[in-house]
Amino acid sequence: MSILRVEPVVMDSFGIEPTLRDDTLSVKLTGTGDMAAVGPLGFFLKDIQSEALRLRVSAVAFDVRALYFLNSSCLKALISFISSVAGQGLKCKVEFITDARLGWQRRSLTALERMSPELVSIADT
Amino acid sequence: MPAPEPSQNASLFLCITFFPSERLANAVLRLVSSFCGMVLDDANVSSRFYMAAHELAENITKYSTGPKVSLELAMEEDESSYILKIRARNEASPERLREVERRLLELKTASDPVKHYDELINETAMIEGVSGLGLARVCAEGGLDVDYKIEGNELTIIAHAPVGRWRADEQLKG
Repeated sequence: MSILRVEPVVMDSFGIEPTLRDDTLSVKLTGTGDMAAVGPLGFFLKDIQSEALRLRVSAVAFDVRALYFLNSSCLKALISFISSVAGQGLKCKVEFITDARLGWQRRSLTALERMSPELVSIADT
Repeated sequence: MPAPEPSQNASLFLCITFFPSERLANAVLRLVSSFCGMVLDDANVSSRFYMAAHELAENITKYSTGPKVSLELAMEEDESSYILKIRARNEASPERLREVERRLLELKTASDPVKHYDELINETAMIEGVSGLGLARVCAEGGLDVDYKIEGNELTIIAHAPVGRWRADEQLKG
């Protein structure tokens, strides 16, 4: 498998750590997805979409367990990512791994699952 | 912008007036997070109000044309229940006021806030730029009602919902 060509995002209050495991692109989000995070997240998701296409991965798994909050602009970035993946006809699932103790995570992401139920799933751990 | 005052039936009142900057908004939101966690003993309820406060604080910061914005949280006693209200005020351009009023009218007349939110998500999924989802999210995901008031160039958005229990209430009934 090729080496991942996308850089992590390291900010004071927000971080993104991508890793490639077998045919799954794992993306760990940490901190607070607020106004400052919107730009970096948007750029990152465009890069990761290209990587998903190049590497022909079967899934992109977003681990949000260490995420404290996602604002609507960050959610919109994820929505655009999912729409683009669907639009490109990629055979790539999008999974969100949430902390079951943090009810807001599933509550916030459920709208994405409703938008594209055949593509998006949420797993509580 | 006149200084807000608590209504007479407010059991708890927090108002923060600040310059509309991203860094200050984040500092204010940390305080709001602590406030919600302290006052509301259910983490799910607390996170719903925090989400609403966060969306409103970001909106007033991003779209302010004035030197000050304010975010206010008030626990008000109704006849038989408590209602937590979040008021967000700023001054905005006429274009912004028209746009936000259009969105709020759509939101308030929507028969199902979740369906309305889902429709907005689908309509805006491929549009670059601002999300336009924040207020709909407050209603659909947060379960809060939203009201608004426009006076001149000042916009006030009020998100509110009943609160079954809160910590002071619990202490009083001890």
